[in-house]
Amino acid sequence: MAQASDALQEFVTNLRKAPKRILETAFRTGLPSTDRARSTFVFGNVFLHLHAVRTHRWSLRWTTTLGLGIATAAAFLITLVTGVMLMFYYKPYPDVAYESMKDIHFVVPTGRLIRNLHRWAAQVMVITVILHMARTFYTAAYRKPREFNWLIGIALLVVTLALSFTGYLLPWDQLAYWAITIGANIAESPREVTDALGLTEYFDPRGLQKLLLLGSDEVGEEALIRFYLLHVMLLPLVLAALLAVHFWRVRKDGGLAKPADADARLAARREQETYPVFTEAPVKTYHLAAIVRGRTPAVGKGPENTVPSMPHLFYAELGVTMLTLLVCLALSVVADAPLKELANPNVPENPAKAPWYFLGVQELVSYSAFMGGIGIPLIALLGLALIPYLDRETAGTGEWFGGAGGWRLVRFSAVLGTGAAVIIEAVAIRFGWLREWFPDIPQLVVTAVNPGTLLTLVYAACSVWCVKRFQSARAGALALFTCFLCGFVVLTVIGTYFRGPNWEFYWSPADWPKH
Amino acid sequence: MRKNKLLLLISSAGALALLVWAAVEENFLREWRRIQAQGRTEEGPLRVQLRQIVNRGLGTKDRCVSCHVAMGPGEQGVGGAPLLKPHKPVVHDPAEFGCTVCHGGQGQATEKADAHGRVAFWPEPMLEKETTYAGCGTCHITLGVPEKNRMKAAVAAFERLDCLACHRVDGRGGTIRPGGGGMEGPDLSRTGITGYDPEWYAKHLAKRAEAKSGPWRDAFGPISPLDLALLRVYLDTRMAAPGWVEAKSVFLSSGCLGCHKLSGVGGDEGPDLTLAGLKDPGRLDFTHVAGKPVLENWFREHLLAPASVVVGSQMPPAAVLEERELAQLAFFTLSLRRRQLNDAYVPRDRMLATRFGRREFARDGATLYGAFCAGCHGDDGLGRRLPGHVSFPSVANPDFLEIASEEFLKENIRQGRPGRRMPGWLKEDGLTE
Amino acid sequence: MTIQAKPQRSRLDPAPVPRRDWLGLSALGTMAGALLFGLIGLLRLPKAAVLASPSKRFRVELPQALAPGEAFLPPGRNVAIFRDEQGVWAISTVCTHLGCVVRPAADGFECPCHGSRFRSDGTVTRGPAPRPLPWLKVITTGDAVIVDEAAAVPQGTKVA
Repeated sequence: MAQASDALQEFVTNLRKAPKRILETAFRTGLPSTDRARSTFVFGNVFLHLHAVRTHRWSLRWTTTLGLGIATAAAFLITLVTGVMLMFYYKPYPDVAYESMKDIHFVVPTGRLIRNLHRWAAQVMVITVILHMARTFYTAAYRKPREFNWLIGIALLVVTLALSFTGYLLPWDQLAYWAITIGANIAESPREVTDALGLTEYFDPRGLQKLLLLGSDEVGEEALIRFYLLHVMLLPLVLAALLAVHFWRVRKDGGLAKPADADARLAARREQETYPVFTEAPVKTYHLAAIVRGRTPAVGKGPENTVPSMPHLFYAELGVTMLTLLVCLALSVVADAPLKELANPNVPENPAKAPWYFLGVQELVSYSAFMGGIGIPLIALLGLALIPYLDRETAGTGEWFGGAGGWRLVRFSAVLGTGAAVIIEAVAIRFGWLREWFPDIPQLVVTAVNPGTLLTLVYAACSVWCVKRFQSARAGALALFTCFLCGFVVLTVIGTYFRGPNWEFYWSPADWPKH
Repeated sequence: MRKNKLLLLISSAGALALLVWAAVEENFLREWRRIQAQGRTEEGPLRVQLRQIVNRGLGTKDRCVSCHVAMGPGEQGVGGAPLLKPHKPVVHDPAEFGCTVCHGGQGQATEKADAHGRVAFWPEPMLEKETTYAGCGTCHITLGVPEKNRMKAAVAAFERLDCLACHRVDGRGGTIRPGGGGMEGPDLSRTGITGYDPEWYAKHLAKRAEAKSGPWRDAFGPISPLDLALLRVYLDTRMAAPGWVEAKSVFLSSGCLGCHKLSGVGGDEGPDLTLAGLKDPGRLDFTHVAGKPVLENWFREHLLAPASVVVGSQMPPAAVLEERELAQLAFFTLSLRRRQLNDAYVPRDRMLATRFGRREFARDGATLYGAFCAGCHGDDGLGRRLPGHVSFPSVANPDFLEIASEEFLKENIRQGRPGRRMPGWLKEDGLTE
Repeated sequence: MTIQAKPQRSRLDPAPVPRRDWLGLSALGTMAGALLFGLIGLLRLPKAAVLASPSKRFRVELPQALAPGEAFLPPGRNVAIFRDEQGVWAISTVCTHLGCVVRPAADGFECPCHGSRFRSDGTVTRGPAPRPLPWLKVITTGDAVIVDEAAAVPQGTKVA
């Protein structure tokens, strides 16, 4: 009898203590009030253990990264969450899609804000990903051992643009329909070359690309469902996987890039925040996952100038995330995402413009479909990908505009890049191009000689000159990247503001002719 | 770290403020909420919620009733604000048909400007008050309408013969039977749609012969064949939309079908008018249009001076003289907005026109001339001279008519005159009468 | 090297907290508040504010020749409307068991799905139906009747 009541006693006690024990078993490290507890917490938590346990103070400076990587990830998170909510109401079938957009805007609770948030966060993501790439380039953070991460980053850039492009079609309004028609036609631009060479019967990448992309030979219900599938499932999965590799690589490469003399340059900190290390016998003497390539927390050297990730890094990340959310919310509250009339295949928008990040490409395409649509973008991507393999120098890693040439070279290239683009565009706009002067000129000549190729040649020439002048591949890279960036901006601005119906040049939309 | 904490604090505070603002704006400040909050019913204050009229057959989801509450299905005794009052009595119950079928506009919207459709990127703004009845053209087709003089004669005949003594038409006339039992004669407002007994005259005469006293004896009398024909025209065109029918008769006197097609009948020189009323005003040029930038004003200007609104137009200006007739032509063109309909909702007149080949215009010579020829050859057949156009010859000149044989006229009408602007009508069978 | 002459604080000791980290706590709290508010807003989205089906209140005209006790079934609606000298009433024809549509029978209604039977006033006589067929709110206006499928009234309410 006594045993039975003891067992019953125990049962009741266990039941009473269960809530507290649930918390204890969930959070086994206890409140992170010591450095060890903080380290263990970060290390042992499934969501957080992608972070290093300690972060170098240099990496936490605002001017090191401007928070752009985290901002991009935060924008992605916002689009992910709002996108899933939109899936409750969006219907991916022509015409019905448009009505569902109207319903989301007018009657769905918080629908208007969520749809706006989704659209603006997507735009913010494209902008921050480009800025992040620029920051990484200018701080030479692609150098050894981070070359592969640079390539992953380029892949992420492409996937981000693809996500934005596939999402663009979904509202099925005039803006969406014609923008994607333009984009799909750009995809068929290899035809320009295969036609000129008489190869199209045997080798028709255009047909294949278009068929795969659109599921049909025109933009219709097949295209919509494919774009929907790509946009909500396939591309996000690919992006998430690449992101995981990207973050992991940062860890493995020893954290964010920093100059070799970063420790010396960091101002001396107040005593209480830096502790001496190795004052006690450590609890564990090894940890397989802690073996990291590179120069950071290496054996034998104490982690001076590093601070616990919790809370230092997390405050930084959360701060940037909430700032991104603030910016996206502000845009959403102030401006509605666009929605024009229902898509009408019989009434082309004039001008029909691709999404803004493709307008530079569209501008080039207006001179040569192949070069503008395939040639130059591929050259640009190839060039970007090769940067870490061509620039094997070490001077200036982690420094803004580090390496031979520096800020002055960047400034010079910016002026040259912008000027060359403006001049070549002005000539083409004012005087026309080859076909206007020589009506019978063969297509291949036009493909080879057009503003896009000319601009590329000018930039390449500038870059080669810089390599020679500064005896440094980095200088050449600085020049080339800056030129291309400025050229991209100039072409995008022209495509956005100065092109009207029939892709004619107009100084302002007020001058556009009325039908 | 302090900077980051500050960044976090300020960003979060800002984000929270924006979220709270968005929540307040959506849940308290929306226009329709403020309007409904003023409403009262017998049972107390009106329940504030989004309301809509759903009609699956017509494919409408009209949220107009979120502000115009009493127009919704089953709403009774709603008061408290003028906007909330019920729809005035009309033929089609708005609670069943929705609003946009007749009025146009953007039914899915819940803000006033968007719902009334007078915003960018909505191609079908709500019809103005003066032209509301143009909405009938969404579903209906008026059949057998004659040219305007015959139409006027028909209306005059009906009035002159005092049929309104016993019959009600469009809310006028009719008497109640003294001993109870309803109206003396049936309501004739919609005989054009429902049809009527073709033996009515014989039956009326029989009734008169039997009657010893009372209205049958005194008010009814024999009617001449000419008047009977006019009455037939009148009854065939009653659709509870007299303004619309009158406007169509003006259309059929202006010779528009000579160059334009309507429901597949007409000339090929100008664009098809079947859906002219659905033109998107946002894509039209209003620089030379007087008054509000609405579609009917554009049509009006187009009729007066076609080349000023459509660059390079070869259309001769409309041969109407009165301002009223011009407005009627514009109104009629606005009503050309037939859309695809679920079979359940196709009205009888449209069924007769589209499936059974009944003509929209009367088949007498005057109407045919007015519908097809008057635009170029003039109202009176004496031709037209217009600046900037080749002059259109007279066909009513008595000397010409003496010389020209009927065969010659018929051949001209059938084959046209190649090399000149007279088109051939051979493929339109039944027109060479 | 790392070991200095001054007395050391061990990394194992909790750092002394002279005062609360108000800035940090308020920052985190505001963030949590903002995210929670946002989450609540997000969670409100799936519950539609307006349903894409026809309104539950509808207007119908009763045929002139409706005998007292004879059921009038407006097309497309699940109600049966009756009229006699005392007035008009409407009974829902949605079976209270699992929602099938009941048919009028000689002595009331019968449900084809599981055999529930109801009297003409809606009370259950047989079968698994747990509750009688509800009487619905009716408003008479002129020559038409407005029925509100969403509002029930006590059994026996007849509106003149």
